[in-house]
Amino acid sequence: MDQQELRALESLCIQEEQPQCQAACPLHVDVRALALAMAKGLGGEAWKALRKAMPFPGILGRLCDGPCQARCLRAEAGDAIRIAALERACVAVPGPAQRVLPLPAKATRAAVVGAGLAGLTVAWDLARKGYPVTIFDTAPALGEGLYAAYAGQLPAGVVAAETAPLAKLGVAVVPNASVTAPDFPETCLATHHAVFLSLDALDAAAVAVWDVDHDGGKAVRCDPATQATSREGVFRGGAHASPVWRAAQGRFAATSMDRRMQGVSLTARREGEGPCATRLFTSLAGVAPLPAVPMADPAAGYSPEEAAQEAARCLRCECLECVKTCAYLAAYKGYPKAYARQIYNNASIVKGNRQANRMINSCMLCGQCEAICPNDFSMATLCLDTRRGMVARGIMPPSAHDFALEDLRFNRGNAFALARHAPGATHSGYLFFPGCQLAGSQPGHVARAYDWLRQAMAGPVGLALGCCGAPALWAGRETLFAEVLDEVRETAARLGAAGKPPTLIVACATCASVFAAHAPDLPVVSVWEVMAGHAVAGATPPTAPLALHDPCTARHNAPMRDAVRAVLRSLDVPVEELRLGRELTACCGYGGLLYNANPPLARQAAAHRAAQSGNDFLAYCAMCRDNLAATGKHALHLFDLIFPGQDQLDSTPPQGQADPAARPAPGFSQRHENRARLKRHMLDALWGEKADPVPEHQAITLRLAPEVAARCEERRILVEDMQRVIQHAETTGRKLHDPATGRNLACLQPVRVTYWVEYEPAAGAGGTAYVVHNAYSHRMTIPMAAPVPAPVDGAHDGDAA
Amino acid sequence: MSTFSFTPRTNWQCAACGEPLTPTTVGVEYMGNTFSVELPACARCGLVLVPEELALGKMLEVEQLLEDK
Repeated sequence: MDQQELRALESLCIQEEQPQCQAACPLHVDVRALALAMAKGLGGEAWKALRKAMPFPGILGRLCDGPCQARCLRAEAGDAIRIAALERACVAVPGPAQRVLPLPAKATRAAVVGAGLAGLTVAWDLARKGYPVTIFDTAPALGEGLYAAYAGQLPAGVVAAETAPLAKLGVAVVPNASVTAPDFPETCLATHHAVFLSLDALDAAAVAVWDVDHDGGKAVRCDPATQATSREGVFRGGAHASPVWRAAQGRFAATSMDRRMQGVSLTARREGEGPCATRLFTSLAGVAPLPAVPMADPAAGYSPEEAAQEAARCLRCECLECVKTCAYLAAYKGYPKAYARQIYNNASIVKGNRQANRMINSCMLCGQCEAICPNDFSMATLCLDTRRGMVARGIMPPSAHDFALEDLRFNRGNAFALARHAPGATHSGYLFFPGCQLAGSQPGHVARAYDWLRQAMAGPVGLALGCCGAPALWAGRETLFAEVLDEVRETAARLGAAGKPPTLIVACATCASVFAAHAPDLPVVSVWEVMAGHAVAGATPPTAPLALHDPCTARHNAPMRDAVRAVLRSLDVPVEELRLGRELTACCGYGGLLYNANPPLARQAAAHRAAQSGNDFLAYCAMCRDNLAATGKHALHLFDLIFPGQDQLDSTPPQGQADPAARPAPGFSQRHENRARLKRHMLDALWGEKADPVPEHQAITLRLAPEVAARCEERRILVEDMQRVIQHAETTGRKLHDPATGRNLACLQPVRVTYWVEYEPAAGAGGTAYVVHNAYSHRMTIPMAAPVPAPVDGAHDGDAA
Repeated sequence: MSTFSFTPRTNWQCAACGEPLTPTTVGVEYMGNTFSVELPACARCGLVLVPEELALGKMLEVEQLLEDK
């Protein structure tokens, strides 16, 4: 991603866009901050919020007509916020002392003719930039004319108090100035490089001497973009009924005068000036309408308490729509625009720590944010592209995805992978591809679904056990992913007839989405779409509604989602449609390998989803079902309703099978065992073949107390890993021993991770069973020890360890 | 590179050599970075012990730091 792509991406996220009020204000006052401060009763903070954009809040705050109110979104839920009244309430209380720091005086000077709101604003803006400014005021003292101009609205003394900082900035004032003298313009222009005519404080005679184009009286023509009059170096402002517009015109003119005195373009890059549109979207869902807070004394305006209540009605407009629904986006306390920059910076680091790696690997790649965002911002696209780049540059942290990729390797290996025509068939018109997770969680359902399909389909249905490659895709491993897809294609080609690949029948929305996006050449249909077209008998339907959880990878698969609903209707299952369902569905925490890269956040995501309904859940993805069940929620898989009864192949202890909705999520070792059982069972029952014998180390029986088993599960240490360690230690003798306890401690690094197992032989098991007391692992490689020392007779030289 | 030492008192002995473990300087490696660490090891055959507290503590910390470099 380069800077340009980053900017384009950032601009999709509208969170930092101005709220309607700020966009509508000619001065872009941060009304939201004002309301927030006033709701909390923080008068000083409220003053600061006004002072940021508003010149002389003590004056203008009392006069402001609040054009912002017409665009306040609160009007869609009750009354618009009484913003003008809030301003008055704020400035009714004196503000904190204001520090002004004079800058070194610039060489060019500015003149302000007339001390109206417009002229005073020009003086304030230019003086703060270091320009020497002279105000030619017709009144005897600076700004005294305002009291008459705004009769009854300004308390005595406020003008002097508010304009006091001008003197500190070195602004010179000429009181009782003879602005109508015929030679005044020439004198003015001779000593000043830019002049401003404050039309709100000058009469027609004062304007006439300037000989500028006008439409009669004080209607001086100007370029609306710059406030420049027809006369070189002369600008104007203040000819507007609205006090805030008068000040704003002064501000625009000051910008022009500054640019003129610097000799730069008056017109370039002034798009944000003045009231503008805003792209900020704010949802009013769930906002109860509230009327404006009444004033006990309308003449006095809001009391501090009334003002606080009124300010509390402010919606505090923000977008954050995607953050509100996604546990991941909320966890990092930001929003997509900020994340895009963090990710860009992360990738740009040459030397130093990349702090955003885990964040990049924690996106579930589910697409919910894109579906919700008014501009389709996609964290999935950003994070997946970034992961691919990290892999390509060799900076992807191995621990993020290693375990999942080893699981993929297992699924492609001999213990699970299988591809056969239906028994007795010589080709396959269809190929049942149930996917790796259903096989790992509920192998019995795979067997029964395959039986059902062979009876239901017209043509012969083959069986292919394997993985679609989703883990490699999500990990950003493009080469590996391509290899896995090629394997699937090759299997399909081999099992098809006369060059025509069979139609894959998938039972997993992830497999479906992977094939649809990356192997569109393969004809694919889901088992649900097949079942929707047939009469499906099932268990007695539950009486209470089940919350239907669409897997995130079914987001764009309407045919599959609709087929599932059709099947449920035919089974008379009452269903609760979730607000965040179908195209807006949430991920269970498995997507994008989140469960591997950031297990605590994955659990949070699952809990977040489970909390979205008080009903039991129904899923049609094995991982979704298991993740929801792991939160303590009762969760069924759709196959539980279609194929009731105990799963004969599942290695879950029997008591866990009594109620399928209460079945705990299988552990990692259990998933491997289930997949291997499934293959052995299918080969034997359908094709009369014996599976290959298990490797030697798997013949060892391990006994683990429940808390030890749980610890190994948490640490992602498989039974196979421990079997390997023990077998290696026992055959080579390379182990540590504690004579006091009789236990052994040994290690082995089969691939990348080094596993340590503390164990002892099980009593009375004849050396085939061991009790495991503890296991842990690390990724750092320790040196292999030297070969076991030769026996004393020296006959065996150079035995390998 | 940096070094650290982790040689707690331990009852583990080398099963093959029948010897107690003694503090030994060992080179460990991760992601192309090598470290010298003092670990309990068998003086005769070099079999090294990485205690659990080290594996799940300082080692894990360093692994994660190196992954983010």
